[in-house]
Formats: sequence, structure tokens, C-alpha cells
Amino acid sequence: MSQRIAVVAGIALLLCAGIGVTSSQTPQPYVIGYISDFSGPFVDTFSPVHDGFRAHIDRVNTAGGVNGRQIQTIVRDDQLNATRAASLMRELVTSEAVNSIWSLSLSSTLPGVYTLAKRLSVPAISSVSAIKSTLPPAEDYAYSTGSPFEVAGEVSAKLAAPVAPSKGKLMCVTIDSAGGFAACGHTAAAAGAMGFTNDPLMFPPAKVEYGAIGERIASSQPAIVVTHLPAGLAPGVLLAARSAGYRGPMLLHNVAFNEATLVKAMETAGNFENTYVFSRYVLAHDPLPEVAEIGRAAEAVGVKPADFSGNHIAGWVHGKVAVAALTKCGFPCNGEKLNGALSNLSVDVGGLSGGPVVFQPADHQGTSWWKTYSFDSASKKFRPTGDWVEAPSKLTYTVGDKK
Amino acid sequence: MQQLTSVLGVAGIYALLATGIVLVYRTSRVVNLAQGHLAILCAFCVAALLAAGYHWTAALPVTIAVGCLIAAVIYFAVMRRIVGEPAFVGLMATVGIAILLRGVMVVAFGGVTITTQPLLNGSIQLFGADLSATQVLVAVAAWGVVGAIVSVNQFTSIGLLMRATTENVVLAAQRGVNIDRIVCLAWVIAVCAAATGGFLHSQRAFVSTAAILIGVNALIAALIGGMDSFIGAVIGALAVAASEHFVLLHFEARYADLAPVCLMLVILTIRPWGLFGTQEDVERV
Repeated sequence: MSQRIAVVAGIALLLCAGIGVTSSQTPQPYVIGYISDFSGPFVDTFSPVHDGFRAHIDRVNTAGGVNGRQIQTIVRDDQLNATRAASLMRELVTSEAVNSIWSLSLSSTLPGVYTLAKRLSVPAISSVSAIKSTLPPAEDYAYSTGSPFEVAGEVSAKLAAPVAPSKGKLMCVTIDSAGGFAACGHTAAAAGAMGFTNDPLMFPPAKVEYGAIGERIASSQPAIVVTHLPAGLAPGVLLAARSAGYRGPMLLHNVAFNEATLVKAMETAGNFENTYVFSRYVLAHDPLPEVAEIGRAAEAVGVKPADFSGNHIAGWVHGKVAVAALTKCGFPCNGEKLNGALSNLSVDVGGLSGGPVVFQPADHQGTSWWKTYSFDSASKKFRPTGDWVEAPSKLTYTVGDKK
Repeated sequence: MQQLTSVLGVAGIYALLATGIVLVYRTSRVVNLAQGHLAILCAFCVAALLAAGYHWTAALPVTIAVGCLIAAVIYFAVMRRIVGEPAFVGLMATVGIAILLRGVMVVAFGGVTITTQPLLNGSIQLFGADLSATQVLVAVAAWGVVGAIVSVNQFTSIGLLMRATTENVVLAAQRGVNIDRIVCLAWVIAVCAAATGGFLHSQRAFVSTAAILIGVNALIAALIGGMDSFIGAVIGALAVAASEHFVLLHFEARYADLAPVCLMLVILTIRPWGLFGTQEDVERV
């Protein structure tokens, strides 16, 4: 009996030792948080962004991780609810000990999270939307790799000039939100300085039927329409405007919409002419080797080739920034240390943008580059119309965020 | 003319959903808050079938059949069990169903934005105006189905039984009316109306989970017209669509959603039972 007990105790000791050896041999991972909209109204925007992010992180982990450590991402769904986003951030920081929060969702969820980020000393980095907090003078712990509405507004007027047939009326179309006001406010200021007259059109974010919006665009007959609309809204407005008879140029800010949806809208409207997209990062249609590479990586995480879009590319860039920041941070890497690494970071994204993603102590957005694409009806793809246009994060025009 | 067609199309979709809400309310006194969800779930089903290569003549009937099945499940699994409970229990049950259906949409269809190829392309000449064929189709089809539902209720024997159930459910039961069958049928017709409305919406606009909000406008239409009145639902739908359209076109577009709500508040302040509703149905403390 005692012999049997001794054998069992010996096996147990060996097992414990084995576990001990195993745990001491597997280095502790970096634990990061990821909050986004996975079941709310913008799931079709943020789910692909997450797939792109995941594709990059998976690839890095497979290649050995960062500083010899794996990156563990803990994902939460904010359902596009600002209060929920802030609660989830607190939960991730206090219960899961994450050192950073990535992606987030639309601009409405950002202020609360950024305030909390500062209080908890954990950086929060947005992937798609970007608000003024990240522009100079930037708030501590608030970063973005997305499209700042103010900057996009100013650059859109610059990009509209070569597309518009004349310096007539510029109609800026957006939704009634803080981001929408910022975007169209800066578009109007920059367009006015360039000789356009302004005719803004803002409609409720909950609108799901765009027939009357299209008719208003058609009856106004502007020289050019510039839209700052998220996800499915831009293709919806495009379809409505074309169906109502507007044939003039439409320049759409790529706020994370899917290129395939836009093409479908043009097909449905039976009009492929005069549709332009301007984007901070390249579109999935761009014939770059990097894009093909991301497409393959996305496929490896389950993205069908037909669903591959610019959102995956934005997510991939976001992942690249995460990896660069963690690499610079070293290990152990807490929120404060990671904030230090982020506040002085330059990430080369190759041809995916006109230049690197750069964060500086007072500028957590950095200079952005924008490219205009037009639709080529022969190849049924969006093709670049020219080179990247540089847009500094320091704004040229002052416009109130609220009317 | 184009604007009129557009308003009639949108109003027709609201009217389809609103008549479904009215039908369910008349037979079971339940305010169905899941009507928009049912419509968009069905729109997703049609879009998925069309994307899979099925012709719309197969996709739409299959979806309507699935909708009927969903309606029967809703009735027998939930609504039948809460008969006799206070009115708010039924209301809360539909809230639960709405949340569940939204989850189903996200899980089954990924919550993505979907476009469907229009059944008709090009334009139609009508009274000298060049009208979008799709807009005309949506308006004609929506109002045709609304007319069919109202006709069934007014001119058929099954409609008579439905009206008897609405008037006095106890008396109807005593006279041999199968209340279970009648209320279940009301749910089935309501979901068929929602499915048609969802499909027609997909012809005009994109299908996404955000589009469930068409159910809110349908509910406003039913409240404006009176929860137990078909003619009220029709008038309410026209009022909602016209007010939205008018503000979008001629005033500050961002207040477009407020117009029907303000209209509803004004009407309910003057006539709490709606324009054509029955007065005694309103119970307030």
C-alpha cells in the first residue's frame, strides 16, 4: 500500500515538475485588448477591420511573436454603445490586465474611452474613426490610425478641385454626428477658400431609405458631391442620387465601406461614371504586391477573396502599428511604458499609404496621405487617378465641431 | 411625379408593415415591436437566396414560407402561452423576439450590408414623366398587397371570423370560432406582409441590420392611424412617408426623422386612440 502511495506521489511530483518546466519555458505573452462593434449597426465595417488586424497578429505570432513572446488579443463587442465601450475597457484593464485597447468603433464611442484611457494610464488606439483628441495638441493616451474627420474634410476639398468640372456648388453629404459636423465643416471651410460655394446636406444617422436624399441632390445639381459617410451609407446615397438622375461627380470618403458594395450600388444604378473614392490607405482593388499579400493572409483567417476589402487593409495597418509599439516597448510592457513607446513611433507601411504612420508626443495622428480612385468600368475595379496627397494633422481652417 | 412615386413606394412599405401590426393588435391585443426585424430578416433571406442563384420567383415564396413558419413558432411558442396576461407582457415578449431576431441576422448573415439586383431596370414613361421602373414596381406591389390584406379581412369568411375575434373574443369562442387558428393566422399574415415589405425595401435600398428601423416608422404609422384600424394604418403610412420626404427635400434634412414623431405626438395629444382608432381601446392611468 505504502509502495503504491509512493508511486502515485512520485508521478504527481513529476507531473508538477513537468508543468513547472513547461510554464517556465513558455514566455508570458503580451496581452492586449480589442474593443469594436461585432453585433451592432456597423458590424460589416468593424468585423473586416478585426479580420485584417487578426491576420497580421497571427502572422507575427506564427513567426515567433514579438521579442520572443506571443501576442494574446482579448476581444470585446461594444455594439456601438459608448457606455458599454467604456465599461468594457475598464473590465479589460482591471480583470484581464491588458496594456492597451485597440480598434474601438465609431467616433461616438471614442471620447469616453479616451477619457478612461488617461485615467487608467492605458493607451487606446482607434482604427477607423478619429476625433480631435488625437490631433495636435493630442490628449495623452489617445491615438488613432484611422481617418480624422477634420483632416479628411480639408483634404476632400483639395481632391475635389481636379474632379469637379467647374468651381460651382460643392455639396457635402454626411450624417448628423460630431464626426459629420467636423468633416463637412472643414470641407466647407477649405472648399470656400478654393472658390466653391457650399451646400451641405446632413441627415439622421438612423436613416435607412435614401430616396429623398437622392432627389435633393439631383434637384440641387451641384458641381460635385463629397460624402463623409460610414459603411453602407455612402453606397446607399450614391445609388439614390444616381437613381434620382444626378450624373455629376461624386467623391466618396472611404470611411470603411466595402468596395464590392459600392460596385454593386453602381451596377444597380446602371451608372459607372463619375464615381470617385478617396482613402487614407489603399483600396483592395489597388494592384500592389502588399495588397495581394494581405489578401492571402486574410484568406488564412477565413476571409473569402470576394469579401476582401479596404477594411482588411486598415485592420492590417492597425496590427502593424500594434506590433511595432509592443516591439519598442519591450517586456514587461505596461500601459504607461507602451504609451511612451507609442508617443514616439514611426511605422513603415510600405505602399499601403503615402508615408509611414508617425506618432509624436503632441501629435497622435501624424501626417496622413490620401489617394483618389476612380472606377474603371472595363476592369470593374477602382484605379488610382494620381499620386498620394499629403495632409498634415495640424489643421489649416478653424471650424466649430458643433453647428 | 417622381417624388410622388417615391413617397408612394416608401409609404407602401410602411403600410405593409403597419397593417401587419394592426392585424396582430386587433386579434390578440399585442403591440408587435418586432415587425421591422421580421421584415429585414426576410429581406436577408431573399437576398441570400438570390445571391445563391435562385430566381426571385423561387426566393420570395420560399422566404414567405419560412416567414409563415417563424410566425407559427412565435405564436405557439410564445404568444399562446401569455394569453390572458397583462398587455405589457405581450409587448415585452415582442421586444424579446426582436432582440432574438437581430441576433439571428448577425449570426446567420454576418450583419453585412447586402444589395439585391432590381427586378426591373430602366425607366417608365407615366403622365409624361420619366419614372424609375423599380420605384413604380415597389409602389404598385406594396399597395397591391396592402389592398389584398384589407380585402381578406373585409370580404372573406376568414376575415369575418377575424373581425368577430376582434369585436368580442369570448363571444366568438362561444360561437365556435377557433381562436387559436385565427390569431395564428393573423401572425402568419402579418409576417407575410413584413416579408413582402422587407423584399420591396431591398429593391429600393440596401439590406442591413440598421434597416430594422423601418419597423419604427410602421409603428408610428399605426399609432397615428389607430392601432385597430386598417384605413388608419394606410393614412398613417402616407402621413409618415410624406412628412419625412417633405422635410428632407425642403427643410433641414437632419430633422427628417423628427417630422413623423412630432406628427404622431400632435395627433395622439388630440386623439389618443389615433385618427381612426377605437376610443375604448385606450386605457390610461
